[in-house]
Amino acid sequence: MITASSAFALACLMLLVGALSPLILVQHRRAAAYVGHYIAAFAMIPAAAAGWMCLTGPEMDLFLFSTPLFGDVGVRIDDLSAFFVLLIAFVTVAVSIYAPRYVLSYAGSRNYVALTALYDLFILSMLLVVTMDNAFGFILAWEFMSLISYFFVAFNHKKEENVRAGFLYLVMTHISTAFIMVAFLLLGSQAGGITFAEMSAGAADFTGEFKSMIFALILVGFGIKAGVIPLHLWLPEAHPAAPSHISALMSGVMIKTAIYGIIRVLFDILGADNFWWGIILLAVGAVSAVLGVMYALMEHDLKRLLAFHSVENIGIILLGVGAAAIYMPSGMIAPALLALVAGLLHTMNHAIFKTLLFLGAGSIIYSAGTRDIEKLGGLAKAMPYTAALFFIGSAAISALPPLNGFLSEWLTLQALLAGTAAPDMISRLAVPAAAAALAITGGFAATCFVKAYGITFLGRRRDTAAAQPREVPASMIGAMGLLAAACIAIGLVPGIGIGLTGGVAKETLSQALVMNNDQSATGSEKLKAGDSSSREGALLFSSAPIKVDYLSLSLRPVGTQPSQQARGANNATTTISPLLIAGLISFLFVVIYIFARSRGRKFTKDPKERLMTPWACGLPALAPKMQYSAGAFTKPLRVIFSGIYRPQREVRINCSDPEEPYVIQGIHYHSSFSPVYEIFLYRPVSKALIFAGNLFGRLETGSIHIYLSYIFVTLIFILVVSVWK
Amino acid sequence: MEVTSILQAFQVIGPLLQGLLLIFLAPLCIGILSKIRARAQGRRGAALIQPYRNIRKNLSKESLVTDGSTWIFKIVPVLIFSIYASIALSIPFLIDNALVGSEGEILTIVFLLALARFLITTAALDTGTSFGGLGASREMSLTSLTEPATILSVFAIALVSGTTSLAGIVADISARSIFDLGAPHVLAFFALFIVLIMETGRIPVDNPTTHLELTMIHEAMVLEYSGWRLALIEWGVALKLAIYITLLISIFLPWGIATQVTLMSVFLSLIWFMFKASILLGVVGTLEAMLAKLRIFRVPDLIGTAMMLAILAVVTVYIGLG
Repeated sequence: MITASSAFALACLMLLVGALSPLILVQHRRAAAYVGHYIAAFAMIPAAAAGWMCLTGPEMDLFLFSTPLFGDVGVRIDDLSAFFVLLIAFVTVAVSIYAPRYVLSYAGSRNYVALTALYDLFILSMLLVVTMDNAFGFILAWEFMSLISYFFVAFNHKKEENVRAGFLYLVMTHISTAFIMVAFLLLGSQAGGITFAEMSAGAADFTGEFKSMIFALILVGFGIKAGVIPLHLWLPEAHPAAPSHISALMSGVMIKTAIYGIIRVLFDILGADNFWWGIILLAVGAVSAVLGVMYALMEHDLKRLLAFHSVENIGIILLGVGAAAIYMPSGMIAPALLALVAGLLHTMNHAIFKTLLFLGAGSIIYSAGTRDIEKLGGLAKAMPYTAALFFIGSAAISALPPLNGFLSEWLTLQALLAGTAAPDMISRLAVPAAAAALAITGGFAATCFVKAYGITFLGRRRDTAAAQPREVPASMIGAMGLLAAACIAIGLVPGIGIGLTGGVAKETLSQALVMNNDQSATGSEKLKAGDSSSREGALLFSSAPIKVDYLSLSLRPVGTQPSQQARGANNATTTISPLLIAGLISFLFVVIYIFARSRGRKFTKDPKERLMTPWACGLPALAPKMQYSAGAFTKPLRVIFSGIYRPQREVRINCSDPEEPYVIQGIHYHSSFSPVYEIFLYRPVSKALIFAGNLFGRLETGSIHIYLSYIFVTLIFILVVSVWK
Repeated sequence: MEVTSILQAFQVIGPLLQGLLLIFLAPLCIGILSKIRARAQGRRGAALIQPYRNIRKNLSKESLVTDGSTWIFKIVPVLIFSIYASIALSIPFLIDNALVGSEGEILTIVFLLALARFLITTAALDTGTSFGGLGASREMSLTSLTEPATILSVFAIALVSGTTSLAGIVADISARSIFDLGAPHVLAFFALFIVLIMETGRIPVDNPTTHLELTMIHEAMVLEYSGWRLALIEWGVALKLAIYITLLISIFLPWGIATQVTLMSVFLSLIWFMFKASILLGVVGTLEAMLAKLRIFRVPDLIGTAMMLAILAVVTVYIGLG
């Protein structure tokens, strides 16, 4: 009988072996790349098995090592951890299948050894981040993960911009670690123990102010890693710099570990008993979602565009998590469950479609050699499979039915709708505002992906000088196909997604509930009460708001105000069935296509449809230049929102002779925009830093005597202070 | 005995017939609008059934395919028509349930309309012409701005009725008296009416009767379509208009809807529906005749108005005017 802990240990060992394998196979280029990545894929089988066992069965504990200062460090997989383990496992399988061919073409030099070895270690560190039971182990794994990802960002260090991006990432991620570390140290010293269970047990004695302070620290710390605006500065720089399959992992799962951290601390340790935290999360989520997608619209670098969409989707996830945190303190358990399910489901969905899209971007770089949308075009002819799969990803991220993005955004909207019954006016006003933000985000995301897909894959090739792109190898297509199939399956069969997230959300919320219900109990008593929490939880959730069979999803009415219920508003359930919708549309599609096509053919005998060239406005032929460019496509929004974008443009007309202004030799057009957060947040901070630096710079005279006297003065000062005390 | 079995059969095919009726009545909406406009301009105008003639003519014609386009260009007209048709099958407007009850959920309909928009703009870019990009860019930019107004209106309605399911809303509203509906419904109605003008591309936002005018939106996207594909697109445009009109009627003015399926009640319900639909179309047509097209960058102001109305609709529910 394989236990969950042995399976998990096996997965970790396999990843370590995988990390060593390219070092052994250093002479065999191809073998190193294949073996290193495929071991990671196979290691995911026991990892997923461990996750599945913990999700369906009891929690798992695995002792790792003991430290003199911080106690025993171990792995503990509860439902929440198991969910993230499964997520990491699934995404890793797809990326590992994709990676070998991509790595071989990307890393021309011998660096592929480092790239492959670090890949396995990166997966291992992410698995450990979401499973550590102890703040010390968590910080260790977290730092490990951050450092490895830094190597990926700075991997292509010949380009100066990548080095800059790597440095920025290193600085930001350490600020993040610092905040998290302070929060955990404070928690540990107050709770008298550094494991999460001890912190959670000690939380009863915390004051409200202390908890709010911890929440603020955690929000900044994890917010930087998650990439919420305005702390996202590193994200659009770092993701494009890393190799595409790594960008996929960073965007798909690494930034989700921050979501894990927020949920862990907010619900498990702090107990989510202050609705203001929820309001703040909701506000942060709404700002990130809207601004994230707005900046994505203006990006014409495919990977930067996708990176900004990660900011947007983290915002959408936080809308769900934040809504749950608003409802919990008000005792609205059913809506809170709905909201957390929506948040977790979107976490899962975003991991899948964003990985798909980043791998798609990688395929474009692989065969067309550029990620600048303005230089691409017409790729669907050359790479039909990649185009079709990228199309599915684009539709999924735009929340279009019947794909998975639709399901989670629909649930998020319904969860926000439920919040209109909150007892306090602030939540009741915040929630529709968040829904409006989500609505405009959806519209913009669709606009952005019409641009990203349409300009890249459709129309005519813009850069005719470059080599003709070819379709990518089958393994790369297969990996993307796996992810696209998951997008479709989760969208069509709501049972999959709700089944995976429902139990996790229930478990997490009942943990918080138990903590809040017996505030008077002491720590040790509470640990014991935790065992019976499942029973109590079952009682609370017997009236769960979501009912799902594999075909459809029903919501009980949760949005009704008490006054309306008294008046006798009806109790109709809200049901959707994506499979039925998709089935109906496909049926109608087939019938109408056959009917219309046969009618249209009545007068022609030709079996093939006639091709014709479109009218070129009187010119001899259509040139690729005449097509709408990505910049032109988003011009209306740039004009409408010029207050946010603050665009600058520069048009220079070159005339051969200043006397003859009508003989134009060339027109140079340049447009740029300055993001608001840079103007109002980062510029003042960096100015202040530079000012302080200059001030302190005056102390440095370069003379050894002065420095010695500094040391002397400091010694005297310390002596005086110590004597004083 | 026989009468009951016929009735039972009607229970099943009733909702189907209801949806099909909407699909086949849709071109008439366009006919009515053109007629109103022609009369207002002092012309006699084409016959009411002119849109049907156009569709019939185009349906029997060969459809040319743009050189260099992909499968998207070929399937999109059929796909978006299927999407509109499936929405039509899910709106209760004559009898109080629909064929696809589970789809008759406002948020899903909003998302399905977004899917259709995504597809047609992608197809427009597929042609690789400047006009396609022009139309797609404007369509996506402007309609994505209307989404918050739509969602907030839905919130206001759902707050009062307790559900986003259309059948639930119809049952709730039709059980009340018309004087029971307060400020939220009035405000949400006007917000959604502006959304209707926006989304169906009528004056003052877009002029559906122009081809090759530099201010066009929808026509620019479908410029390369011909033959039976064009017929499906034109029918789809009409169906989209009919869907919005029907949604407004079912959400805000459902009274007169048949709660039992008998021939008499359904007939009466149809008369009521035609009456309400003609009034709404009359308003749209009159506005078209009276107003000039807005500059494209003035349209966001109109959307802002819809947004404000929708916000007020939600707030008025809270302060108890619902």
